[in-house]
Amino acid sequence: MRYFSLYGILIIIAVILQSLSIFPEIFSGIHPDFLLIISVMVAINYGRTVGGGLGFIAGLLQELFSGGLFGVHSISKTITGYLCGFLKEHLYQNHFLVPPLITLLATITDQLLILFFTNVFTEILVLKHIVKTVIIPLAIWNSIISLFLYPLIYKLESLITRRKFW
Amino acid sequence: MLEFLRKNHKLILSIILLIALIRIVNLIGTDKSYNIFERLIIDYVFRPSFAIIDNINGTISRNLQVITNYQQVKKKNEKLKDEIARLNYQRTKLKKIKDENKRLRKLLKFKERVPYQLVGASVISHSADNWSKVITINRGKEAGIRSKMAVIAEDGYLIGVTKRVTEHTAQVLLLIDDKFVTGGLVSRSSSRNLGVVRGRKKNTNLLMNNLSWDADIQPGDIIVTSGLSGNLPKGLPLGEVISVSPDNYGLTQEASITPFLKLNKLEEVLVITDFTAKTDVSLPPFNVDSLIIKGEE
Repeated sequence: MRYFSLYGILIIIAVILQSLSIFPEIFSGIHPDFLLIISVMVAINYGRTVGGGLGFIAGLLQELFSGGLFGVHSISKTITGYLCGFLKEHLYQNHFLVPPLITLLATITDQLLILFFTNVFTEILVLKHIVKTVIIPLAIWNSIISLFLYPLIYKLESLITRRKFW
Repeated sequence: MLEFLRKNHKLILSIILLIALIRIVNLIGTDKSYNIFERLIIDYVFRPSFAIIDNINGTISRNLQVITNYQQVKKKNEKLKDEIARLNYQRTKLKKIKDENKRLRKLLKFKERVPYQLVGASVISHSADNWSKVITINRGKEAGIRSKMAVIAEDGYLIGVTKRVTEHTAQVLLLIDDKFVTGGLVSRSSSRNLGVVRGRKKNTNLLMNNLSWDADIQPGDIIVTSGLSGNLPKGLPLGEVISVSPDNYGLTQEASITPFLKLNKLEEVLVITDFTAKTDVSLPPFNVDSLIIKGEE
């Protein structure tokens, strides 16, 4: 229950942070996807069902503050979270390179899923532009952020676990 | 792989069906408004947080500005005092002109000009993704804001239209979003050509297409709203033409338009809540000095 509360609060904070105008100024015009990073972390730690579930909630909240297509973020984040959950058994999560690499792949998967819902595939020039200016920079920034966010959340979690035994 | 597919075939099928369903819903393009739960979450969970952040941000930036640029702020303050004195003088003049105008209009039996009904609002959040260009403002149904109302900057330039509205907030679709479409009109007395203005995925410039092949449009022209849709008033400035090129193998023309404002730096906006049967004198932005009658100063 404590974990759920922690991730619930983290997701609300992530939505707020993601909607602030300050981050595109810092990250060269890109809104980093904190929600995806958190969903991926949860998925590789707790498995596909929890990852998919949290991805769904994160996507729903993201849709409240984005004017995009209906249901796109919820479904893309659910699938991405679910797929990342499969890696739980096959990864050594404590290696520092695991979170950025998984986040990189997850961001690309998530963005490609969003592309499926748009008509961009019919316009090659626009597609190239989007890959160059949105998908690649977003994947890189998300990976870099995950390097710092993962230990931070890990610390928060262990703090909660310790408190449980006090 | 095959075993995985066989094992999870129901799940995979459900996901494919769900994707297809969402794709169909989006192809139909129905405007989805917030449901009751979404409205409650936005109004009572996110809005207070955004308001707190906005206040903190405002206070910090204002104080930092005063501390770091004290001399500059002092100079600006003096300049503003002069500006207030000048504006007060002009206001008196304008009042005189307004009264005279009213009297003459009455004499000539012209329709009286009534300003738009405006609601001021602060921008509390921006898009939470990289695919859409929307902002959320801190006024909603309680201030009379409804869906599809024009949102303008303080100087009268069109910013976008309201999309989804809650009791205390409203989402604004910016004109640089690729889903934004409106009728545009070339604002030049010798050319009143019409076209369709839309946002682009590729960049922050707007595209005006469906212009007739012989349309008189050139770089430097100002494009304003045509008002034909009925949702937006006529004459709101959209942007300036930067290039014109033939489209549809020369059957039509298209123009690239640059908006007047940097839409990612907005802080305060105005929502036009009522413009029906009203003509406005203040929009598009006018030069106050030009209204002062010579010899009166």
